[in-house]
Amino acid sequence: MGRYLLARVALVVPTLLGVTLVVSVAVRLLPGDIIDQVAGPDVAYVNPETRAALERRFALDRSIIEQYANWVVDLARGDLGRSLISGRPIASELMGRLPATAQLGVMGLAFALAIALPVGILSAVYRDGPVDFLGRSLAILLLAAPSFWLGLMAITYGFILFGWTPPLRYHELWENPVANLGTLWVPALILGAHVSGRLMRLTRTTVLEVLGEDYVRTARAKGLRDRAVILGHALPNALIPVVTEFGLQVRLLIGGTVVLERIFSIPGMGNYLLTSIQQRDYPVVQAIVLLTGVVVVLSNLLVDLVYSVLDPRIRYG
Amino acid sequence: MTTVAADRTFRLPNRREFLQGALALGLTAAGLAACRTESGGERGPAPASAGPRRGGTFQSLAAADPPSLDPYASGSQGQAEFSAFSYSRLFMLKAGPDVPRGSLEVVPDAAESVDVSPDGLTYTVHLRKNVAFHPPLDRALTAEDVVFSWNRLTGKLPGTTPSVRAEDIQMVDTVAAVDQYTVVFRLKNPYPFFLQKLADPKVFFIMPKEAGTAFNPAEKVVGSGPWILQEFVPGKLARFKRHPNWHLGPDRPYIDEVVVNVVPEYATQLSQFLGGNLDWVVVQGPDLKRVVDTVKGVQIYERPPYPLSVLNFSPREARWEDERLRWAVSMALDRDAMLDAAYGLKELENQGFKVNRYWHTHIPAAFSEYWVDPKGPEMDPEAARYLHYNPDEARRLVQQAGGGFSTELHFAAANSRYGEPYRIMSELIVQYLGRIGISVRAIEEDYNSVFIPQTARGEFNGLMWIPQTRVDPFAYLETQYLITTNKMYGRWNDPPLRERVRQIQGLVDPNRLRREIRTIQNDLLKKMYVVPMQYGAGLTFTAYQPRVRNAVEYQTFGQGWPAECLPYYWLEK
Repeated sequence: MGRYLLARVALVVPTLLGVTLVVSVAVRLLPGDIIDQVAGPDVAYVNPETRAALERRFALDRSIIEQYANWVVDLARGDLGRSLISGRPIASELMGRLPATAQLGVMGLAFALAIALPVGILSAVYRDGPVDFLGRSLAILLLAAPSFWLGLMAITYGFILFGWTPPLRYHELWENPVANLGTLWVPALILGAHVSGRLMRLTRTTVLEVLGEDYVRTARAKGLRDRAVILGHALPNALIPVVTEFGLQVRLLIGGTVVLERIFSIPGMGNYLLTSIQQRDYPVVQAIVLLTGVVVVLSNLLVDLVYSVLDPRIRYG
Repeated sequence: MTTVAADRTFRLPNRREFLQGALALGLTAAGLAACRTESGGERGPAPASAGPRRGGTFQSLAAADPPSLDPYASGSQGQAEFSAFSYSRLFMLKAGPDVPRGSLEVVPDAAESVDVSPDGLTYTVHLRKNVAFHPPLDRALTAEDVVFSWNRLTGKLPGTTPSVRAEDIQMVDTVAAVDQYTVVFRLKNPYPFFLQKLADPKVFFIMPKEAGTAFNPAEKVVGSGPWILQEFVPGKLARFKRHPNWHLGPDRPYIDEVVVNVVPEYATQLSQFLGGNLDWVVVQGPDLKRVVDTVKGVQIYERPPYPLSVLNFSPREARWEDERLRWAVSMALDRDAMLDAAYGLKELENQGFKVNRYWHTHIPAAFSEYWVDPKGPEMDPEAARYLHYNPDEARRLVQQAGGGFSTELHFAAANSRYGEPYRIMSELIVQYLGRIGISVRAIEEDYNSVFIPQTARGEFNGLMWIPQTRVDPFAYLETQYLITTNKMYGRWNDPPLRERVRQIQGLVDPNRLRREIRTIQNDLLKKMYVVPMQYGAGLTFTAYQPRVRNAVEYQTFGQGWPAECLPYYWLEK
């Protein structure tokens, strides 16, 4: 296990370098640069001398590889650099935005589990009955309804029907927990509902599979009650694919909340990433991708470790 | 010698003026109320107030963070608006109940007065002696700061680069401090709206000379404007408190604190306003009734028809040289129907609102002193006919010019940047042109990846459509016909027209200037090198909560309102 962990951790560095290299090159291959974005519709009037001076300032006159290499060197020193456009340190920008996105993601995933697991299990247990029909319909509905649409409906009809608007300003959890949860519960519910559609269907399928296994039949033959059979024997075995899927959804912690952050005015990383890509603020894009990569790689590692907890037959070594 | 002096404009209103203002407010309220049918709610300014009152927090909004705290980092509208809170300019647009909508009249800000030489080439700006920078500097603004800021704008200071807006002031030859409170601008050529250029918050702000050495202007804001930045949380808010020693005070700003909340989505902005959390919001036409019905006593300001947008003909397609095709494109468009569809004007009329349908010429209708109404008597009928919807004539012109194009033309438009009216009009343009035999395929281009870096630089086929904002009417003529490096406009080889625009540039007599700009619109329509479009000509509104006073009366267009208007607002309890 220890050797396995070391090997996985050792792979993290080249993985992250690979990811950031690909993204750095890709984002620079997009047409346009920060000068175009800063000038906007008046880009045609920026004179060549001004453009050349700005290219030097933003190091755009250097090759892509040189720009990337400089970034890696700075990174090795623990410096994420400064935003090209705002001129502020990227690290402090990220620190200000990370908690909101992380909290929204965690709450969203918690809602997703809270909806998906019971509905998926009930759907499987009462297969082809009204409960199953309702559960499957709900899953398809949640999969089909985009989160931006649900968000806009919540904002618009929340006020029309209930006079409800989310708090105007986002407050950090440690600053004002009530206001914080008041802002986040609706977008987190929407986020969780969207993710839960897929998890619900997966849970139903895997629980159905497991319910047909010999050991479940044996448990029932021993006279165990349904609840004990399902929760004690079927569910732990059914959860491995669900945990895998859940691990994949962890990417929402960083990047999947873009639209909801915009609609609910949450100062998170998703919105920041989107704006940075649009503005061709390369160092910011690279920093956020790096952070996303770290979270995804670590969550995948965690998922692998959880397998061995769920199923003792799985061993690493 | 022309002189613009400070004292004529900025001082506290005396009792009589205040009563006149209250009367105007009442009349405006009555006028707006008359626009409603019996079925509607109320609108117009709130009931008369006891008078200016100090205190309170104004809850403002912005759709995004400013790109930077440094005013010269970007030339965007968001940057300009944010910087206008804290940084002074030399001049600013005049606001007030007696100022016509869309007025370009400027008043001194950090300047006290200006002397203009008879040839229009030398502007001697006398600075106020009571302009104080915010803490921690707390010192007087001097001519050195003005020259420093100019050098920062143009990138002449060591370690700085020019602003992307440096091209806007290319008419300036030198800027020099004559003494502590006098700055002289010498121009290479006359520019009729030079003071408006200095008043444009997208162009020039005055920073202290310590910026970049004593502190980093990207991380700290030290200006001399009406609002001191107290707190900036990216993605969330900017909090300003009033500058107690503002040179246009001491009573103003009346409001103690302004919080600019970042609210990116229109639907959320509207809900927050309806819920009473925001003090103002821009309202699109179709939502106006809901706002009026929901917020009792809401005050509505009809925004001037601005900016201008034009349809451009590709330099790669030689057939656009034939003016008949260009006329046909313009005459194929039903401008009123486009306004109705894009801005919901018919619906507004049905709801009892009085609706004006403006048509932009090559000057936006907002510049009412300079714009000639194509539906009015002043416009040459021969020129006006090219803006009137006449598909039969347009078809005939296309036939005369050799028929439609052999292949489907590309029509490049930005995909989402300009909102719903732009998208709706884009769809209509395709249909209108199809009806006269010009087959067009709309290409919705990504704003950041294609539209700006390629199309807006002139690299497109067929047609393209782009809105452009300029702070004065001459700037539209300049960018369209004098800047020859521009691949869209400057390529038209029309020396007489170029010479005429150049002559207008040299005019210093304001009456003649106005007359010439009004006259040239006839000729521009007859040439139709670009087709004026209706995006920006429709009605949009700003709604204010009833507790906000003086807001409808103090309006300017552009991004300078935090200094031009906001210090004059006050809040009722």
